[in-house]
Amino acid sequence: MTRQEITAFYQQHHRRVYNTAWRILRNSDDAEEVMQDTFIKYIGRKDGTPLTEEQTAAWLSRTCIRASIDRLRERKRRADFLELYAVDESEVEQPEVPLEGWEVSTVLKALEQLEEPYRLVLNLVLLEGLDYEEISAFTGKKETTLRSIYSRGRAQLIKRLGK
Amino acid sequence: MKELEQYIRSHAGEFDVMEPAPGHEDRFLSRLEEAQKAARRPWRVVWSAAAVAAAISALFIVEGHRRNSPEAIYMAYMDQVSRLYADCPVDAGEDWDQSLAALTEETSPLFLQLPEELSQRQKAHILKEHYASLLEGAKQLVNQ
Repeated sequence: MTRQEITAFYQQHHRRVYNTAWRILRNSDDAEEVMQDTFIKYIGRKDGTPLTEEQTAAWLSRTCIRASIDRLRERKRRADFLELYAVDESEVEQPEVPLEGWEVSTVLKALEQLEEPYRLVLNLVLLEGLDYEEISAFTGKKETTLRSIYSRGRAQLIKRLGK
Repeated sequence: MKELEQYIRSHAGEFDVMEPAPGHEDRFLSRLEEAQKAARRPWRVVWSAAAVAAAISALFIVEGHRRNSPEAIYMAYMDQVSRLYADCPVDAGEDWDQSLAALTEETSPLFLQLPEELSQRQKAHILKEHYASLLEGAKQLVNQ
């Protein structure tokens, strides 16, 4: 890639990649560094097979998520990552609430106010579109544990939005 | 799909509200440049350092004192480092190279910096401990 192509590529994708990292790390310096790492890895890919627009976006997203979770895990090395919050999914079923009239900013704020690991798992499922199998591969946690975390986090989110 | 999930997914792009701090593009380009330079550097550094060490050892190593000679210890270390690079998987990324370089490179080799007052034996002891520790880390990286 020429410098001009790199700049154009960066400008096209940086916002999405930065936000993906930021939502996981919640720290602008860390998010920027992970974003930079992601682009540098993409540019330095040994496999030069051209990717479609969709594949490129997916590659950037997955690489960024992996790097962000690695960094998060590094931060929390001594804590019980996710394990602490494993619950029985049946405990947390909540009724739906109507979403009419909601603003993105309201949902975003409620999502951001969730505690870990709910915020992380809900972000990965809802905003990054990952399934439990993929999240399990990133975090090393069982799918059943992740489903439980999602359910409980979702219930908290609904509760916050219903207030 | 439930209403909440549908709502968030259909507005996904609108959730990207954060912007990196001003100057992020310049910082990225500068880091990219450094990374690209570093990716080309390790082999050259290892081989040039090995060449320097070889030249030094050719000048200074005296048969009979070889085992405790700082130059010989350094040479043995560089030989081990070169082997680790040779073991690098063909499809390994630049991260691997950079990590190995960060673990093993010395701007100025320690054996050239030790005080003159130390005996050859004392120098050898320090160097062996130091390089063994570096190699241990590098081997752990390779065996990941």
